[in-house]
Amino acid sequence: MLTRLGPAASDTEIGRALAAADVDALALVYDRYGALAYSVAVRILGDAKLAEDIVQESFLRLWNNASTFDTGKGSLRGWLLTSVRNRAIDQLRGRGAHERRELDLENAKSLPAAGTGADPWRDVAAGIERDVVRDALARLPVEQKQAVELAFYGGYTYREIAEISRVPLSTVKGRMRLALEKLHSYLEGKGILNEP
Amino acid sequence: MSPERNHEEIEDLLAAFVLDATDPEEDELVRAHLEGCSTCTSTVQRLRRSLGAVPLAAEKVSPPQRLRQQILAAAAASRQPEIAAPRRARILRLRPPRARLWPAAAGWRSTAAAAAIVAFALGAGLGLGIGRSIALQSAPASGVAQYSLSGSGAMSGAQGRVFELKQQGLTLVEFSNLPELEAGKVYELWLIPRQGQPAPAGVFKPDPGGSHVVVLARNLQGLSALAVTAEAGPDGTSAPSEQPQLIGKVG
Repeated sequence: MLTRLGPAASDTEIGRALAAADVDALALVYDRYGALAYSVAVRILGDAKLAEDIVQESFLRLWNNASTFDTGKGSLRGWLLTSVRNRAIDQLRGRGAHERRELDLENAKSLPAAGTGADPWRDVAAGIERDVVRDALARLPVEQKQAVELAFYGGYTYREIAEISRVPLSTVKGRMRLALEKLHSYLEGKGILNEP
Repeated sequence: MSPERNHEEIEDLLAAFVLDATDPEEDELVRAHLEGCSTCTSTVQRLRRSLGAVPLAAEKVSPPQRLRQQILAAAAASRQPEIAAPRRARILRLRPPRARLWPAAAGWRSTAAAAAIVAFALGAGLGLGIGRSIALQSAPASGVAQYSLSGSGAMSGAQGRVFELKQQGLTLVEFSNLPELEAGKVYELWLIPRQGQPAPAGVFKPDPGGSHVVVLARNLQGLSALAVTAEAGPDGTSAPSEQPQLIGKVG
């Protein structure tokens, strides 16, 4: 007998309910992270309809793999956002999922569980978090931010970015590294990143 | 890239690796290196934590309200909890029906909206195709009514399995063994009310194996049967041009 999930249910509780085929648990995940997942898909694809498809695919993949979901390896939000990003990039670049690494829950590791949803405090926390991350990105030198965003939202390889930016390969790799290290340092200082 | 690439060279690639921005060969090299290098593994974990925060800054865009319902309905219909490695989800669309000619059956407007999407995950381990992917194994039995359509004549052997998800206000029709269509033709699904004339519910073309799934954003209340005819494509017709040879009672 499933216990009805409350709005403050943890990832572990939700994961357990998902594995038990509790549709209400999926509804809760959607209410928390659906808008964020959709926003990321729209940002990557620039197409509302395609974004809708990608978000639906990702939620169904979570649903159908719920029994293998391990909250010890990552958060639901991280898992979903990674799934949406990878599928959107595949769509954008016409790649099959087999052409790139499969979803790796490590990608989602230590993403905190705050997000959007019906819980007002959760909304507030998500808003604060969003502002901090935006601030962190805004503090990066333009070329570093661009290198990260071209790869993350555009699906470009570092070689392609070097060509686009007309700079040496080593420069792009360095910009990516510096950007992520600076983000880590800033976000950790603001308490946004959880250490393992 | 040489397999002898040393630690420093691999380390230079780590940020690009985390960003999924390396070539497949480099990707493999980095992965192999990580298995034996705790320093680089630690770096990758740190960089991934940073990257994981990046999408949180995305400009908020509200999804359409229907998306939530679509996801939940498709999930209820597609549950395959034991599947370890599912294939990429499939998305099928049902062409929107043409303008209606009869007084609307209840829910017609929402039917048009649902011409929309049904998505469901295909289980790689099953290898049985679309039909088995919506086995409704976990849907609450009390909320699901099942019916069947059977073919005769030119559509002999064709079948339709109907799942009415009462709580979700959705109906899924899973067709199999549909004969190959003549050029320029499409299949058209008809809702046959207890009283009045049949209403078109949309057109579709099956896959090469003769399978297709249609989702209707309505239940089957007020209907006596569902039927399929082959009509002129791409939009079908507003009234059946032939006696249906694939039909089944519902409700």
